[in-house]
Amino acid sequence: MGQVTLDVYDLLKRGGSFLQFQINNMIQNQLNNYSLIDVAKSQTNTLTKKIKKVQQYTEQTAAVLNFPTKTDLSNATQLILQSEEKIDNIDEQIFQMAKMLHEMKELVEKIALSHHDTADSPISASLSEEIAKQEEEIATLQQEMLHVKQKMAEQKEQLILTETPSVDPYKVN
Amino acid sequence: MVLRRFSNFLGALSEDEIPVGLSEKYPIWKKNKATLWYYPSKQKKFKEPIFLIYSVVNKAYILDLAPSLSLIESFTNAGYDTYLIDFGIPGFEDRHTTIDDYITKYIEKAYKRAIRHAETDEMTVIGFCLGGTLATVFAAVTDQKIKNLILAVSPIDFSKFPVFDKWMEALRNGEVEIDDFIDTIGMVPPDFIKYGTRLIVAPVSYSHYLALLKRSNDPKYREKWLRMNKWTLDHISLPGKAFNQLMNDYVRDNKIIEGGLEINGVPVDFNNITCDLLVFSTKYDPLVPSELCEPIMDLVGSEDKTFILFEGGHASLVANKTMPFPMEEWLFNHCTPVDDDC
Repeated sequence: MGQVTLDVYDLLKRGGSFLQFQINNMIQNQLNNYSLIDVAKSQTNTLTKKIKKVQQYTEQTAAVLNFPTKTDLSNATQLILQSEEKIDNIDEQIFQMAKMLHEMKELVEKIALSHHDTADSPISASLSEEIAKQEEEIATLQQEMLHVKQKMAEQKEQLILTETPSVDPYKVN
Repeated sequence: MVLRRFSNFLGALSEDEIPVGLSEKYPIWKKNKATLWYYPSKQKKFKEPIFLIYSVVNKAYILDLAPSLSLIESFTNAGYDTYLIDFGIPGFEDRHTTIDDYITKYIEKAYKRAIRHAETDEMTVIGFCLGGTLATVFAAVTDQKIKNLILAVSPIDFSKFPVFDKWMEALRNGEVEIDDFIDTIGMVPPDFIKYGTRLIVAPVSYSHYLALLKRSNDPKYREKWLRMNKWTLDHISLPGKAFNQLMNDYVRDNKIIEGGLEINGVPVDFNNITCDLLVFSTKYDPLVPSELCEPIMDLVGSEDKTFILFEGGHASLVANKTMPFPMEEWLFNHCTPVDDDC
């Protein structure tokens, strides 16, 4: 006869899970009713109006006392975000330009070779030199853009830190 | 024995901080709070890298919980270079961010950056949960090439909402209107999302503690439990505009299925999705049951499309040492080995 071992913890888990399922079903059924929906319907508007009033008072008080509000700081941060977006777009365009220049350089070299021209001939040499110069300038520009982006990120961090109170309802610890 | 079990159980509960997201990674692009992470493969075996899009209401580290508990690690071990767009934690200044912004200003731009970094022209896009919903819309509107699209437990058809049918009816009839309230508070706090999700899944939840008690003598299980529990409680805030758009366009009007969805004023045609498609959902997922995921199969223009229903729950597939086998096999058959590259 094989021995059957009773796992108390397994039983506890199975029983507990079943009970949890039953409790949750009951709660969900209780919450899924029209009277509660009616309460939510009527109370949401009232709550919204009250929150708006408090926000309005806060803005007015802050204006009189010359305090920046969370909205003021977030507006400033939004300006940085807009600039960040633009820098990102410019960076993308610069990348496309660099790519095009690189392709042009390859084309110049190919044409020079197909015309039995050497890379040292005056035309291809001056073209290659010009492209190399442009590439260098673009690389510098890309570095500068990166620097500006970093600076902006730092400023944004600073503003967000100022904007965020010690207990932020939007962040989970 | 009993004492040791309880001591381990209590020890696990009092654990303060547990590290997550430990795979080797490099930030290659940053914008606002979003970061595009690059996870290099151990030995690149496939031409097309993987581009991951995670949900906007949870933290993306569920995809990389710890060594041997990481889907990302399983990708890199299998030879796929991997990119992840992590949206970060939005703040009050982001309250006007819409779903359109998430798709065009973050996902699409990050995809372009990943393409640029990988020096390739197409990738396999994988979207998880709500990230999969965004990935679907992205794949339909972008002019970028996508090799494969994989949607994991991603809600598409919101008419089949699992619970609270009366609330859904009230929402659809316009009886419940919360746009103004959400606009007033600006951001939907993480606790709203946490308790909202809990209401749908399990308002009272203690069975995971019983599971921990049962296996508290197993250190590997304790480690996994701790990390999963940390993630379950770790929600992030959502911009009010994005929340309203999700509730109105996606949930209430069910525009993905019913039609009429627009991104920046341009109508979305899901028939534009012609890349190979794999959709998977899980059998025991009360949050996103398979009825919510499967209808995408009839909307897309893809010829090669597969739907797979796995055993397991909402997040159980991602926290393992290896990819779920059907996904691994599918990816292997739908990506180009580097040796074959011409």
